[in-house]
This record gives sequence, structure tokens and C-alpha cells, in this order.
Amino acid sequence: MLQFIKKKGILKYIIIFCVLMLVYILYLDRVIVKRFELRRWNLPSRIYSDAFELYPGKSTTLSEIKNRLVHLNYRQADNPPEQPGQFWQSGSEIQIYLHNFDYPHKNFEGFPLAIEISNNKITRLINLKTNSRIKLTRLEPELIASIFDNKMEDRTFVPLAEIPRILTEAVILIEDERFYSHHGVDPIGIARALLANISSGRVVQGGSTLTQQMVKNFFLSHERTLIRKINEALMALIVELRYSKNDILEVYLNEIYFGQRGATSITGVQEASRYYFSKDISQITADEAALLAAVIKSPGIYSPFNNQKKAKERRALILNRLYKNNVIDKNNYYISKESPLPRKFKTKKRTTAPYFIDYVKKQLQENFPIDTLNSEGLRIFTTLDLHLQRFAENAVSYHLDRLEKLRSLLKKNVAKNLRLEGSLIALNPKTGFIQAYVGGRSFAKNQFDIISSAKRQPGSTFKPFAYLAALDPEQTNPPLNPASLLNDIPITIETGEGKWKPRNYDKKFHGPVRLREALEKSYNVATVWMAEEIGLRKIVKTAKKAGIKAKLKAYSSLALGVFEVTPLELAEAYTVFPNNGIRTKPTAIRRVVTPDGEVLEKKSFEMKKVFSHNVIYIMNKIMQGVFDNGTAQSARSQGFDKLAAGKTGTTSDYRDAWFAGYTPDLLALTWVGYKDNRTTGLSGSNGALPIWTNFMKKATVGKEYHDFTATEDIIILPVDKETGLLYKRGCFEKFREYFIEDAHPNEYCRE
Amino acid sequence: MKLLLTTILSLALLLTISCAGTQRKIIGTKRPPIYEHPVIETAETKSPVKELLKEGISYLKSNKENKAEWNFEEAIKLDPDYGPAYYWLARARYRLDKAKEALSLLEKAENLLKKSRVWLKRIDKFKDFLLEKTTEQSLSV
Repeated sequence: MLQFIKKKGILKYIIIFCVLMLVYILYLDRVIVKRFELRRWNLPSRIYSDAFELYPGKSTTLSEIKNRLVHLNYRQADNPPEQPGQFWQSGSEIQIYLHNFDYPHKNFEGFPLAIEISNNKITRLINLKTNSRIKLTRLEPELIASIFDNKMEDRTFVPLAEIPRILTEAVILIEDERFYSHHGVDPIGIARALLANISSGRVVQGGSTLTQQMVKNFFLSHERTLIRKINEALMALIVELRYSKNDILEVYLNEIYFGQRGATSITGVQEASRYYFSKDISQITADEAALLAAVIKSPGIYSPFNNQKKAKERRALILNRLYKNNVIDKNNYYISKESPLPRKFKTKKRTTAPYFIDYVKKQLQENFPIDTLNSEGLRIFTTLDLHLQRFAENAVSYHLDRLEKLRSLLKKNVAKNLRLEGSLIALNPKTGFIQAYVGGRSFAKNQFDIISSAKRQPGSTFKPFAYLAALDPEQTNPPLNPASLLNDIPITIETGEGKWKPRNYDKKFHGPVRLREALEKSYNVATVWMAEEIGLRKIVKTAKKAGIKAKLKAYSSLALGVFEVTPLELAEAYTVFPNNGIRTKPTAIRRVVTPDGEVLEKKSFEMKKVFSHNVIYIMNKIMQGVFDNGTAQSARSQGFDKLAAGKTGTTSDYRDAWFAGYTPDLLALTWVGYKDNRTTGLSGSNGALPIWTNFMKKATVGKEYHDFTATEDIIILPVDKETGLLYKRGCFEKFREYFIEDAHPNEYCRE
Repeated sequence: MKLLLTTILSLALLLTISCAGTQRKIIGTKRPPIYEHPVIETAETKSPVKELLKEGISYLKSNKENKAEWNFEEAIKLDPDYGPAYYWLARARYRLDKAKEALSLLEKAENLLKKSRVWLKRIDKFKDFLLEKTTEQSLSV
């Protein structure tokens, strides 16, 4: 034979082949080492909402908690919850088995919790595991979005030590029984599979070892070619030579495909456990472990969400093997075999807050390249409250639809495929945390974010800054007061472009009016008179102090809101009112954390005291009147009964409709208009206010009622409605007005 | 008779004193107006806020500023009207080299703790210290 080889000159070919093979094997070895050592997957970064705190005394309702739980993938049980991810309601008590979750600087371990609620307040929290009362706990932040690479694989890495043994046993028993005996390729397994396939006349069994499957998924493609098969076998042998069985198992369990959620693939056991059972892999039971092992073969066929019968059969097969190999006892085997399979429960439509996510991504990209975001598995904790976000999205969409159905001009535009746009931003004025963010009507159709990018005239929503300048003793000396009389009589102003004659919305003049009335009813003429009287530069200064970044010029029309601002900018400026003179910067991101818990970026409250508490309190009391006597009265008839203050805004030719309003704890700003700035025929009152009212009615349900905080320098005096002077018997009509102690009228009417 | 006169005079005097408490003289008016103050709400903070603060302070003492900062932020999130939380957050921020931010937080604390002399003194002391530090820093630059 040797002579034959020599004679034919084949030897040199064999030597060349062997050398080439060696080089190729060395190359494969490098490929394996490079990737395997790092255990690198592209882990998507995840963007979460804010957590929801629970503590005795918290204002909330049973329905709010249940709604939040459903969106967090908790399942309602018929009995007290026994497993993480379940909840049960009995009368005014709700019991929840909380999920584990990672929070910045703290990892929470789930436990069974009882919440007692009475009169829209949590009265008691009990840890049912220790049977003790607790003072504070949280519902975990809700996942809003993941930032994927183009493979769209949803995966969370979990080390082997945290994967329950029952799952590894189940996987080995069903996928590669001789895993601990072979060296990457299993000839016995191949022969057995071959026999089984021949005898049944079709492919019923695969001969690939678990190592080969891992190699295929981790390093190679899924194409069925001989070359791929050879590479798979060679690499499996190299992997087995270089690494331990535990290392291989860890990569396998984190790599394996478990099904599809929309466009994203569920990969790895951790994500699979969350997908099928709404809990972490460390918390799964025997039947769940068997089911996960069952799904591996073909998620399309054995997923319980696709085929309950097939999933149950294969799970029974695996449970049987676990029992026969003494991994589970008889009792556990029978219980597990009969336990119900998870069903794809009807989740409510997932809230994706797309404009907010876009806004967050833009901020993230200032510090993190996109490659980092779609591969490092960062966790981004935001300020968003998805419960409020859902209200906001519904309010915008419902009212824009409604307006387009009711108003003939808008109806006509719909026929021409011109759709009305709208936006809403809500934030906690004291922390600046953005809690709801609707940047447009449909992100799918229009990605332009109105809130952060649209520059529009604010109209009368700007007026409060002009009035603030007039009332502020630091700006105007002597300052005006809410009872000061303003002229609402014709005025002509010379401008560079000719004469300008401001007019009121109702096209009338109202003579002398009290300052309060002028703002409540949004009289343009009185505002222009006042602005001219106090000096336009003071208004520019005040608006700048409040945070308006637009280039404001001291024009007479300034006070009527002719300079363009973004809704975000205006919302920030309005924080000075509920926050007692302190401007708070809107914040979207709280922390960016690595999978190991290291905080990479933090953003927090940014605040600056810009106005005195006294003057802001007076402004709040005047703007409260906008709801009670002014342009926002319809909010009351629409059922909004909480203490609030705000201002409507309508720009010329009805191009923009605005409403900016707030309670002491929540500020919301709404805008309605067309993208191309055409007329809508809508005012702030009938265009933007209904959206605001719809949102705020829901957002404040069950919340505590309280007033704007007064200071000791504020006094209430009876004044005469007609003259704005102090009231005495015989005057026109009595009216209780708020004043700063040293800035009130000193004379009585008829004196 | 003398006793009766003394009693009447005393009562008249008392009445005058008590009336003087509710009416203030305002320059320029013939008759000082009768006014009232709006109710100033002072709600006691919820207990978990104090717990979070306590925990945060212990983090600060053991030089875990980042954890302390998070705890104080959480306390503010729960009750944004609780002044001491801003004071302690300012302390944490200062330790994290954010003296300027700390100063703004002290303004907010001051706003909320107007009624407490003890707190105002404490805030002032820390404010002076921060101002001194920031001036030193700007001079050295």
C-alpha cells in the first residue's frame, strides 16, 4: 500500500493535505478562542420605565395596581399566589408574588406581598414570607424598548451557576444523553440516529451532540451543506479539547433559540423563562424546566403558545426521563406531568412610547456609540410612568379622531389626507421627571417629535410670564397686583412694518379690567397695554429666567407669544409655577447601568430658584381662576374637579392650540395643530384643553388633594370687583383676592 | 364702684390689645383693612422617606456617595416637598464634586424649611462653606 502511494506520487498530496488541514484547524482554533473566551454576544440594551413605589399612605387604587401588574406580565390567579409573577385579589386586598428585578444600586428579590387598600390609600403592606409589615417596596420598572443590532436577538446572559440543575439535566437527557461521555462528536449517537431514521423511513432523530449544536449556533450558519457539517464536527472537537463541559453548557444555554416575539428572537434560557413563565430562570419549577427543554427541538412545533398537545407530550417524555434518572421523585413527576401549560395570555397592547424612546436614544447617543447600545446589554432607567403614558396616548389619539369627526374644516382636510397632529408632555414639576411623552399622533407615519423639535408660537400660553413680570416686585416697582386695573381699550402701535392694532379673541374691548380678569379671560389688548406700561425688557428678562431659550425681542407683540418655542421648552418654563419659583429641567434618563450594576451615567434633578415664592403663589391663584372663571372652564364641565391652574393659547389664524396646566404635583402641556402650520379653526379651549382634561382626569384619580403652598406674606382681602379697590359696604361687588402683604390696594372704593 | 370701673377699663384694654392682633396699620388708608391668611398646609412626610434618608446618611458616612445620592433622590421622588432630603442630596453632590448643583439644591431646601430655624442655620452654614469652596476653586483656576 505504502509502495503504491509512493509509486503513484500520492504521498506529497497527502502531506500537502495534512499541512493544509493543520493550518485550517489552527485557524478554526483561533476563531473559537477569540469568540469563546470572551463569551461575547450582542446583548441589547433595555430601556425601562420608572419603578412604582408602594408604601402605607400612598394614594392609589386597586384598579391602578391591577392595571400596572397586567402590563408587567403578572398573571391573575384564582388563589393566593404561590409563584413569582402571580397576583390575587380578595376584596380590598391584593396579594402579589413579586418578580426579582435589578434596580440601580440594589437588586430586589421577589417575595409574596399583601397590599391593603382603603379609601384610595395603601393602609398596610405585609411580607407574607416573613409575615411582617414593611414600610416600602416597589413594582419593578416596565420594559419599554430594547435596542437591538440587526439580528434582533433578545437575550439576557445568565451564568451556569444561576441556572437550576433540573434544567441542565433535562436539556442533557433529551438533547444529548451522552454529553459527559463523548468528545464533541458522538459516533454512537450518530449510529443510533441513523438506525432510528432508517427504520422509520424519515428523519426522526438527530445525531448532533450538544457541543455540535452549540458550535452551529454560536459560530456557524444554519445552512445544510457538507462543508458546514465538517466544520461543525472539527470545531466541536476543538472546543471539547480546549474547554470544560460546564463552559460548553453555559454557552449552549445562553445561545439556544426558543421562539419568536414579533420581529425579535427569544434566545437563551433567561429570556425564554421570562417569555414563557414571566419569571427569572432561577425561579422555575420541574415542569417548567422540562417544558423549556422540550421547546429547544423546534420552538415552532413544541412551544406551548403554538401547540399545547405536542408541548405536553414532549414535556411528559422529558419528565419521565428526569424521573427515571432520579432527578425528580415520583410525587414531583406526577404533579409536574399534570400541571397546566402556560398559555399566551392576552396581554394588553404593549406601550412603546416611541417618541419618548427616540428622545432618550438621542440623549444616549451623545455619550454612547450605537454599537455599545446594541451590544453591551446596558440597562437604561428612565423617568417615564407607563401608566400615565397610556392615558396620554389614549387622550391624544381619542381627541384628534373626535375633532376630525366633528369639525367640518378638519373633516375636509382628512379627505385630502391632511391629518391633524397633537402632542402631550407631562412631568412632575418638582423633580422634572418626564412622566408621559406623546410627540405626535403616529410614530409609524411621522417620526418628527413635536415636543422636542417643533418650534411654534405659544400664543397666550406665554402671557403668564408677562403678568409675572408685572407682579414681581423684583422686576416692576411698584408692582401691579391682581386687582390692578388694566386698560382694555383700543391701542395702535407703530411698528417697523406699519401700524398694529391688537384685538381680543371675542373682537370686543372691555374697558378697565382687573389684572386677574385680563389673564383669566386672556384679553390681548389689556395685556399689550400692560406690557407697554411696565416695559417689554422686563418681560424678556422674566421669560429668560423661566427658561425660555428662544430669541425674544422687546416687541409690543412679545407678551402675546409671537416668538417660537418648543413644547418642551414651554413645559420647563411652566415648572416655576407649581414649583414655587424654582425652575426644574425636564429629565428623561435617571441612570445607565451595565449588566454588572456599574452606573455609567446618571442624570438627576437640575433646579434653580428664579422667582420669589410670594409672586408665584399670586400667579398660581390667578391661573387657578382660568379654570373657575376663564378660558378653561369647560374642563370643569368635562368632569375635572381637582385644584389646578393653567393657561390656554391660540395663535393667529388658529394655527396652534395650546393648553398648559398643572396641579401642585403634575404639569401637563398639550398642543394641537398641523405640521405645515395651516389653520385648524381650533382654539386652546376647544382644541388642546379637552386632551389635557381627559389625561389629567385619569392621571389624578385617587390622588391626594392639596393646594399650592402659600407663604406667610400672602394675605386675602375683600376687594371691589369693579374698581379693584378695597371693598366696603356700598361698593359694587365683593371679591376675595390674594395679595403679597406689601403690594395691595390701599384705598377703598368710592373714597 | 372703683372695682367696677377698674374691671371695665381692664376689659376695654384687653379688647384693644386683642383687636390690634388681627388688624394691621397700613399706611395711606383711613381704616386698616381686615385681612386673613390662606391656610398653609404642612403635611407630615410619609415614613419611608425618613427611612430612605436614614439609609442614605449611613451610606454617606461609609463613603458610598453614589448609593447615598440615589437614596436621597428616591426620597425626593416619594415626597418632593420634604426639605431635609434636598439638604442631604446637596451633601452627597458636594462629595461627588458637584458643588454648584449642591447650591441649587440648598435653595430648594431653604424654600421648604423656612419655618425651621435649626434647619435654616444648618443650610446657611453649608451654603457658606460651599460658596467659600467654589470661590477658592474659581480663584485657583
